[in-house]
Amino acid sequence: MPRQSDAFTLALLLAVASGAAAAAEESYVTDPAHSEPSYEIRHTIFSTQRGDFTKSTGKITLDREAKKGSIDVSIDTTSIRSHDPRLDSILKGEDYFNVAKYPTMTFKSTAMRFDGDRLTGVDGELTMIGVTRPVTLKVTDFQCGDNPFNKKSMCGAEVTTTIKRSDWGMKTGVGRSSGDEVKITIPIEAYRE
Amino acid sequence: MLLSGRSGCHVGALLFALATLIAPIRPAGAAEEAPVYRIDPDLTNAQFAVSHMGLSLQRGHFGRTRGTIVLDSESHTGRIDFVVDATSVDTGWAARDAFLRGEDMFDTTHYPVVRFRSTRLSFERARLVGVAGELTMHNITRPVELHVARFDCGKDPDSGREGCGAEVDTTIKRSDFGMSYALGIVGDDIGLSFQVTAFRVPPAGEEDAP
Repeated sequence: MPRQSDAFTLALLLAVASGAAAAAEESYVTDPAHSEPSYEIRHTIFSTQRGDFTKSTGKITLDREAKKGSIDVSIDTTSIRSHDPRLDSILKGEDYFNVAKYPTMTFKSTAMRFDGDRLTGVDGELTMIGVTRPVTLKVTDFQCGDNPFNKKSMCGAEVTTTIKRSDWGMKTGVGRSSGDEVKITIPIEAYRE
Repeated sequence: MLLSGRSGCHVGALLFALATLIAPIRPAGAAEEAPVYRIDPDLTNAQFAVSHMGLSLQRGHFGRTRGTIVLDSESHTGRIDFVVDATSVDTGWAARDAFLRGEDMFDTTHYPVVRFRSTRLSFERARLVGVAGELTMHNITRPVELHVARFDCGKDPDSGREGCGAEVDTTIKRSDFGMSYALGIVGDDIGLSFQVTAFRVPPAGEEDAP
């Protein structure tokens, strides 16, 4: 059993270490109002369609010294919003996201890539309409700082990837009126817990 | 059009005379014949992106837009008039949208419309590559240059109508338009990215105009 003074010393060292930012595992929770996933897909030969998901949650852990971490994101598929409002009910239906059966889609990381202190990429698995497939996320503009209003420690980044929706079995319209490739862009802002 | 301007040269004078006869007629003729396209609001997306606290790039879009495009790819002439309903600003969060419509930002009570009017179109062969014009926002008008990253025309497989689609982008400074609130928190540079789809308006006399 460690003595009280040892515990105190340990606590002090941990406090100093976590203040040094890169020396311990950091946990973050995404701010949903500033972390909305958005997508872009070609529609017919000359239109491009955009939309986003207004509800999602995310937990991130980072150990920048050990260059490890994890990302766990859950997106509420019922919150899909096409910028062409006629499409929302179609996208939520059986031919696309089938939100009645699959109200969430999730991303779970399997590996994180760092360049020094900065996260630059994440490998993981996306589960969408019940199908799980690997994806690689590119992370750019990763930076951390204190929120000027509430002084909380936070990090932000831009996450992008491109997927083929047919890989998840979402094939309606592919090759005819809609594209297969979906460009995904997610700004992330996450508060340190 | 050859205008030699050399007085006393018989051939030059003849060509000059011919040019002055032809020149005033051709532009008017071209304007009457130039294809007119109506922007399809449902298939057009006007998105903006701005830096938030230097940590992330936040996006929003305007749900209601309309406009007209006159485009003659052969004579390289045309005119674009694009109107955005500023009250349709949409960032996915109602409280933020209300703030953007408010007097510290767009002040849509007084200035509900954002408008772009072209002054010059740039082509590379038949392909539109750039548009110079004026943007009026928050009651201030400033010149802007739009970059046309993608421009395709063809027949829409869904409707059979002839149309064009373009991806257009530019960056503006909101402070140039008097929208300077919270410049330290929300960036000054606003990235504008429009995905525009417009269908040909059949010339007068033809049926089934949209």
